[in-house]
Amino acid sequence: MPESFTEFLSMGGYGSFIWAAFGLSAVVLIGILIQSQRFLKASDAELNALQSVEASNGDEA
Amino acid sequence: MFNYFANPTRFLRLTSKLQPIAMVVTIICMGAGLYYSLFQSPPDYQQSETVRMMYVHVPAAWMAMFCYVALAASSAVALIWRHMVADIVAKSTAPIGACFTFLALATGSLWGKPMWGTWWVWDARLTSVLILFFLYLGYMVLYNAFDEPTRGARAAAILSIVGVINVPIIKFSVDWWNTLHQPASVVKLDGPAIHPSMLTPLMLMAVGYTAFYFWVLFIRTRAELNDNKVRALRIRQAEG
Repeated sequence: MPESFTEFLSMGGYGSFIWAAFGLSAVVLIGILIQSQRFLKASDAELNALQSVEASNGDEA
Repeated sequence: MFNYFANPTRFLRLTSKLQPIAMVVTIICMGAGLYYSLFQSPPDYQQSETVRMMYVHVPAAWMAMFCYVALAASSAVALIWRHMVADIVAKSTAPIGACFTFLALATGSLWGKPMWGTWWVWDARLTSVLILFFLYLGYMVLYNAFDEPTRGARAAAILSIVGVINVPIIKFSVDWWNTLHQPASVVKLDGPAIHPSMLTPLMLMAVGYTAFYFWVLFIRTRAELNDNKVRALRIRQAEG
């Protein structure tokens, strides 16, 4: 049913506005989600690295 | 209650438990919400298919205000009781709220062009939401503007509390001033003036957006708590 699919995409002629609104929402929300997850991973790694340094310093002393 | 959650370890334990729940609620509600908004809900008799933009525009606008109240409230707690967790909640809320506000403005603009014939008007509703966006940006800039982090946190907290006056202005702007923007049709004293076929996707998306806020909030607060520990360890190592 390719005809009804193009009809669905055209959204009564307002397709460009509607798909832009939905697409932009998806991009921004997924964007902040990925950025936040990267932030968490980076901070986890940094903390672990510092804590292992701390532990090895403790062994020497 | 504040004292109970002011303990970072307890807060961390709670958020690690709630984070997967928020994720599942987000995925289910947004998935169902998208299906209903794009396939199940009817076109509007006046606005035809463009009414579907409501399902991403209105939840974003609600969350823009919800996040701002959360930002100002946690800032007040951080300022008055010096709770580190409240400060972290505020700091983590700001970028999420800014994203929602940006989406409310951008999707509103995309809706305005075909329905009002213009991308933008300088009326009370649109201008006050633009100010909300700048308040979020101002908060984030101010927070990081000082060498000493606590000074930035205090200055940003004060800005967010003063800026809360903007929230009722946004809410009532459509009643107080002439505007192209339509007045509230869901949050009304006499019940929502909207058909269930449109209310269902709207509510699903609203719950999905709210759960999404908490999902991202929990991720960011955990990261900020890590950063705080890193900072404390660095200071200790420099001194030791």
